[in-house]
Amino acid sequence: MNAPRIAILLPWLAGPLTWAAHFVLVYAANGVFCARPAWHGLWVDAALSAWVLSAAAVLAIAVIALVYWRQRARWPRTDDAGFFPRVAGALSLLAILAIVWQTLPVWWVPACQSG
Amino acid sequence: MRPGTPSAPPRALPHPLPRPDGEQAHLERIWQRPRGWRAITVVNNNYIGLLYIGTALLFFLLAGVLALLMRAQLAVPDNDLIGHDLYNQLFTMHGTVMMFLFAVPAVEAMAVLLLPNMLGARDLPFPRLSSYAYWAYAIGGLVFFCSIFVGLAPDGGWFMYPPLTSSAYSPALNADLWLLGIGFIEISAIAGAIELAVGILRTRAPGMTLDKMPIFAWIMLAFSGMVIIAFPAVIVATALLELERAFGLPFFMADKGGDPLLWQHLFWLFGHPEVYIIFLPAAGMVSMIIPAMAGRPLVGYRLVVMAIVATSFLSFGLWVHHMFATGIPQLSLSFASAASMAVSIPTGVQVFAWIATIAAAPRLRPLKTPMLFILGFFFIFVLGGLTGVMVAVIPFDWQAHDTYFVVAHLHYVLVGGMVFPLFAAFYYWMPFVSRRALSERLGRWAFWLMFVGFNVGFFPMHLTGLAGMPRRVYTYADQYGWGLLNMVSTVGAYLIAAGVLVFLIDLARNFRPSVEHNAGNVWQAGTLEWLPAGVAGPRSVPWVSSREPLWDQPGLAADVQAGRYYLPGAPTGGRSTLVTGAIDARPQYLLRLPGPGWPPVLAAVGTAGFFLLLTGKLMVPAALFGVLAIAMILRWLWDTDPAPDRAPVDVGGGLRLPVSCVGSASHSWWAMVMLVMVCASIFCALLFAYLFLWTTSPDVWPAPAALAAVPWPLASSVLLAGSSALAWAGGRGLRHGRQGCLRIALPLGALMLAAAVGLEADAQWRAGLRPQDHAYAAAVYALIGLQGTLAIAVAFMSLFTTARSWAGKLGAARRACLDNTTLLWHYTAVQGLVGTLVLHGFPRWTGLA
Repeated sequence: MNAPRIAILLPWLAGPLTWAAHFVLVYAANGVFCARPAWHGLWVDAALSAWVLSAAAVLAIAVIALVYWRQRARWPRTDDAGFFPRVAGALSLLAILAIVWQTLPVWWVPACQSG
Repeated sequence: MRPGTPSAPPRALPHPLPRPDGEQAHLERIWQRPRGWRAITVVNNNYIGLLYIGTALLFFLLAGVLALLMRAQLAVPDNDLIGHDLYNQLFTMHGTVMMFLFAVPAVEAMAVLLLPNMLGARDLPFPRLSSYAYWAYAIGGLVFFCSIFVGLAPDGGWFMYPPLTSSAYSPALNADLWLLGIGFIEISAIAGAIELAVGILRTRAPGMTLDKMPIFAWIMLAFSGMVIIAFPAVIVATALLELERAFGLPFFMADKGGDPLLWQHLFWLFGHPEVYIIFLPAAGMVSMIIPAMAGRPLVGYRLVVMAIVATSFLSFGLWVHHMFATGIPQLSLSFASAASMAVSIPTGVQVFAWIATIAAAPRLRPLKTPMLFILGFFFIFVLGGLTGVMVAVIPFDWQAHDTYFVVAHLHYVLVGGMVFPLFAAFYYWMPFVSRRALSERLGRWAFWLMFVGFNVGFFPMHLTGLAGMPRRVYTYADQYGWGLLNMVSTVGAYLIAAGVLVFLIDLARNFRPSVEHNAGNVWQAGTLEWLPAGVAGPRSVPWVSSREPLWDQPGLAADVQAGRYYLPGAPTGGRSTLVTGAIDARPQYLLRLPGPGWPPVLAAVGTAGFFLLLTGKLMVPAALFGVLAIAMILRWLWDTDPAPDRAPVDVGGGLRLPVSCVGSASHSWWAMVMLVMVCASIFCALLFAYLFLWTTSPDVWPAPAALAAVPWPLASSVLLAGSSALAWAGGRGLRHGRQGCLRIALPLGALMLAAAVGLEADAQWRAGLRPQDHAYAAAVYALIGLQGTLAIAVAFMSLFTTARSWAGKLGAARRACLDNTTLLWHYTAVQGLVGTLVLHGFPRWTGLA
């Protein structure tokens, strides 16, 4: 059997990596749209912010679930057989929870009103 | 069978007994530290680790004295013991020294000392880098601290917000000292982190697969990743502020399109992960100590690993919670608020794992001193966590912002989360490095004085803060009614000092440093650092089949000590350690390690001198120290990558390993990948600055017509791609033994890389852009400057590689130097292409949009 490669850590970290990408995107999107008066109306008044940010959350969760499902039979074999799949599963669940948690405010917190 | 127990009994032990006469003596002679005045050239991790910890402890004491002075000043209202100028320097230095010169170095130092033994290695993979990082930190840190004696200490707060720290309001050298001093100490921390990460991934004992790695190693791996990603943000921030102060590039000047909030974003992009960079290693120590004290493995190992990894990621999403009061859009604040609450889940998982382990303990009583400090940590840290949840709620944060409530919260988190576990670690691991353990009686006195003192000192600050007392005031009027609470806090602070004094007395009475004749495994712990060891680490490197090998592998200590496992001698005639696979820990090759030497020490002297003299604008001496640093680094590197002239050596059990390695399997290539990650993080931080300034001041962004004509960036891109292609061709030539091809390709390629930077700068200059004009121009030249810095580094490396080729030190099987150079080279070219695209594409795109 070939030795497992360090690249295996990428799917293992798919949950937190996707969370990080999602966080950067939604924070940047809201910051940029709020900073541009020309886009402000579309983003806030047409409630585009809520729909786009919610769609981003759904997409991120789908990516996490897909990577975990595709990877399920490919984890390195170790004495603790559950180590890689279980830790990856827990990381994915926590990442999904964090994504859902930070998406909830988009429906009841004003997008651009100054804090 | 519980996870992590041996799945199969170890195979027949690799070496028969008796071992040859003189084998152990030879091994010890090779690893012996130098004596006399050459003692400072030592590179062994155990000696460097001890020096490192001692120096960090010294900074803890010095910063503690500053705190006592502040508490004396605040003990009574309207006190005139200390003036406001000195008080500003005191609180700035207290925070800066505690965070940058004590906390981060202390946890790195513990890792340098403990990890090789814990992983079953003889040393870390780059011992001279450890020495360099330590001496740069020690010399730079001590000179930095001494600035307070001449009134030159920084005085803008440990987070140095502009515009207070801009040259308009802080024209003196104080702020420069912080910016250059801390910037370079961060570089030392990054060097340490890269070394630790490579050590953890590549020098574990055979059999120690990732699922069997000690929690402390997991944590230090996460720590290293966080340092590599987070610290570049503060390096960029300090560089930008220094560029503004020294040359007038207006990154933070609002009237020229800059924004002081840019500093806050960059600082806290580093600053919040920094809190976890400090806390996680301390939590790792707790996860090692509790199982030893409880006599059973940690409950929920997998969940704790998950918690460590999750925390290291989530901690990056919290930076904005230091900026709740800056006018950021409410929804953006909510993202950070949500992440702040989410991070409490993995932290809670760790706390419950510790509690469950204690609850299931077959042995715990009588409580030993390390356990007392851990219980104290629970109490204090959980309280700090609860007030953390309070200030994560934005409306509450607005009420408590900039008051003593925040001072109380951050000390409960940092002292509870880091200092108490560190003292637990001092008591726990003292028998590992000392002939005697520390005293239980004095330890109890130290603990109770510190614990009671801490709560007496800091709990009232919650109330002082809620009563409205702001942070950083040097005195207050009697009529506010804060006098009694402040007096109680001052009494508490001196009680803490008394506790620390008792600890020092304990150290003086019982600490007798010795790695060869240490007190040994007095706690009956199960991890590898408690194997009998000498100057060379364990006598032989065991095959590990469990997370607590000393508990689960009967006779392990005796067999290791007898030399029955791998590498009981020195088959190469010099220092060496096993390099194993990152995931499966199978032996791959034998890494030849260097012994003591002057170059790392002198390079550290040169680096520290360069930065410190630069602060004082003493250009000629600074340049001389810079030359010394570069010369010593080149001298040091000249001896690396030795000739692959040895046949594979037998390390035991018929296992023959090569003594060199090229390409992506080499440990040095891994370190270079991490350095490239640091460079990418610096670039991303600078790109963030560019884009952030665009969001705040789009009016200074040029119209597409004002930009340089398209042929210029196209020519620059062709040069970048051509340069990268030449580097590739040089490497390919070497594979086929064509040294001449390489000797032409590398210098020519470096020239093209430099020409691309020159072309870009010239195009901007011709377009009428001047760096001092406005924030856009400053950001453009900062990106070009970064590219130029990397091009210079690559030019140096290409000349060095070419010189090695002329000297006969480069070949198809001896090419680590070239591999590392081309890796950075390709990255620099890609960064240049992305930078060109941004500088010429983004303003055009936004101008049209």
